[in-house]
Amino acid sequence: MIGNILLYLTIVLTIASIISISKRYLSKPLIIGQSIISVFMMGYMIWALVSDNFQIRYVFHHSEKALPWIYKISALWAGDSGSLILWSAIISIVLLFLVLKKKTDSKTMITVLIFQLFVLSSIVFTNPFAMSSKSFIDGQGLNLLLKNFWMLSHPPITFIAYSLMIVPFGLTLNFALSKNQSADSWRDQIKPWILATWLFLGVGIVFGAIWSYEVIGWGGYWGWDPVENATLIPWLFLSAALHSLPGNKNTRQNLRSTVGFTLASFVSIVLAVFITRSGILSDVSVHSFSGQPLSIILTILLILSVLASIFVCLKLKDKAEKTEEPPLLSKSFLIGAGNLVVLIFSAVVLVATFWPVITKLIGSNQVISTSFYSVILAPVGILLSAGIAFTPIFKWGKTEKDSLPKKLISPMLVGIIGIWLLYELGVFIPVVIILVFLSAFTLVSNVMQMKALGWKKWGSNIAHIGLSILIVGIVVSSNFQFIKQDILRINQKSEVIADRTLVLNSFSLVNDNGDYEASVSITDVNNNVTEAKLTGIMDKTGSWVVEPFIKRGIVSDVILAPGKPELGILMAPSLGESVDGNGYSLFLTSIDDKSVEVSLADEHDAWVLIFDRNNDDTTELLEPTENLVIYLEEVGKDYVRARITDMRPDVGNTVMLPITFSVKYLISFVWIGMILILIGILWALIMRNRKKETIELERIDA
Amino acid sequence: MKKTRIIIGAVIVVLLVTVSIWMFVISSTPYTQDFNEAMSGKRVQVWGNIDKDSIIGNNFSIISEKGEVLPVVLLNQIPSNIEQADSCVVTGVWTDDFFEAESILLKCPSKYEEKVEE
Repeated sequence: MIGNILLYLTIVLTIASIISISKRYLSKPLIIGQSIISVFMMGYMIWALVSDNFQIRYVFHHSEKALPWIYKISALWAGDSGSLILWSAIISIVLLFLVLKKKTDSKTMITVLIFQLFVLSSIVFTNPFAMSSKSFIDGQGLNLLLKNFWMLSHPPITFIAYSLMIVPFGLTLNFALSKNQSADSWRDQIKPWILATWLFLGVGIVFGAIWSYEVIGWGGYWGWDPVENATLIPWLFLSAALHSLPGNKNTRQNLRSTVGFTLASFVSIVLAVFITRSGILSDVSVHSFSGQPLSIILTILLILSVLASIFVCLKLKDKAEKTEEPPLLSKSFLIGAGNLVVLIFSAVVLVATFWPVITKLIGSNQVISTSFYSVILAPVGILLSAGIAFTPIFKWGKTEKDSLPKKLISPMLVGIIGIWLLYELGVFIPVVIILVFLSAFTLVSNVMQMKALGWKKWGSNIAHIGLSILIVGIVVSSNFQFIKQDILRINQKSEVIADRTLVLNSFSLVNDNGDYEASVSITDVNNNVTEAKLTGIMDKTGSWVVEPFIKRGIVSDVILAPGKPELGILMAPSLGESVDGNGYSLFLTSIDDKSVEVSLADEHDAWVLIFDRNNDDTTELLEPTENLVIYLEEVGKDYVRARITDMRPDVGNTVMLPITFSVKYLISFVWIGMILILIGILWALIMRNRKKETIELERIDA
Repeated sequence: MKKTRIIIGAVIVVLLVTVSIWMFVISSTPYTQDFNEAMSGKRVQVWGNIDKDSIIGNNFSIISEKGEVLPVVLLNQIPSNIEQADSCVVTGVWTDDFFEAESILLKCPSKYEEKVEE
């Protein structure tokens, strides 16, 4: 009830704000009011979650009493409608910031408010505050996979990025509509917003990647799932938009590409929301989506965004500045070429993501396998690496050819050292050789430029070094890895996997649920031993949740993921015969209507066991000694099928733990690269020199 | 000068577009829920419900909506959350005895979908 009142009040205030802005009357208090109420609405839902108000259906579906309070709060974004509430609150905070900043123009405000209206109406459709007629004592709980720091922070961060992006879109609309705003002032306005969106979206992507790596369910740090692609595409467009900004300033060209990439970033973010919420790609994505009512709202939003973008492009004709072709050996040209690569790559990823939908329309259901992307990445990675390798060497304007040899020599030398290192390691894959050369080159050329620049301008260099490290990490880690599945038995050496052997040292049940603790030692060629502690937990629904053991290193990561353990072994002796296995011997002495007699022996002891067949099922289970259980699964005419579960400390030998053991190389480069890119963006955002940039760039060239 | 720039641009476009189209042709795989098609010997992507009792190591079975059973052997790492998934999509080829899958995509129920109440 209270929730719905707050929801409808926010909607009314949002509409009132839009009207008041166009009437130029009372708009500020109305916008502040809508922001406060919208944040209150989120507060109300959080309070309902924390106070275990299971009468609200959303709380019942996504939370439970035993949940720690931090996860109760995070249940806000565990579901479709809850995450929309969070989103609208974040948009409200952006609105509050805009209205208090004063300078914001009315068209941008209206754009953000209209977007907010779409989010709010989506909330109405998903009806998060719906009450149950029944009262529940406890809720259904939170998905165990979401109980993880990275998953806790990934959605809010992504929503911040989605919310921030509405502002540069509004500013661009305003620029297209205004008669006297200069392109320079528009660029200065959008730059911090683009940088901030780029940063938050990047952090969101990285957190998602760390999560999927640690939880392994998705097999690595990136799976080319539609949902992942959907956030990658706007990030790529944002990169292109940002890179065409300084080029614009100096050579007065590319205004169209800056506008185009900014619009594309916004539209692709709307598209990302559409993909994750409408269910259009649910057949090929990890996520299952409900969606029906939302897809209508989202389709309208998507069409509106596209129409607005087309409108801006048409209006832009009047604003086109005199173009000046950049010289071939210049930063401007490299950036243009790089943006072209990014544009084509994004388009290809987009088509591949929608391939199932496209082919369905044609009439033959087809999907793209992920190997598609790893092949496409090679030429894209090489072209981009080459671009960032040479950017520090070229000037914005024309680069003098005479100055080149001096600047090229050290990067080339270090690049060649990189190739030699690969040769020593026995790596002869052309793509890897080219990329390592370019990466080493990038490192040196950027460090040389950093020495020449003031430290305040290091942002792009740091990000570029990060990108070249990331590309090497991606290519190497996906080309060199060992994955092997095996079944471990107590104290038995496994097969050799990637020069390592595994031994299951101990396995014990922690409680009656079947939760277990195990310890595995991993021995490498140099006899270095790593102890891996593994745990398995049976969750409420009776499913196993296991967390892999990961030993990170600069060169290689060792990952050990346990599976569902098999506690006992099956033995099926015929009458008068014995069966041997795992150090046990089972002999079937006699079978008649009243009893079954067997004898069981291991290396140390022997037991004669008589099963009474007259009573109920429980007599098919005998425990000759503590922690040793023998259970008759089937009694035939002249045979039995018995399960022996021996959990005795030190001597118990029936446990079989399936594991997946993998060694992956240079995963550390992936994380270092990603983190450097984010640090670079943050650096650029903080050190942003608002007005002097044009002059500065010219000074660098001089 | 202008010519060189256009040539470089054209080379980039032609290179990337060619590689992409070629890869689209190679890696496009039919998607089906029909197990007869899955057992045709062609490389397919097939959807089915996971028979949770059948999971042993990386062997398991999937069940179609008609109730047919398809035994699957996963060549890759089995995801740790397989038991939390309802259904999955596996990509691979039918060998004589089982479906040899090189990849699996799990569909987890509780992500955005709310379970039936009462």
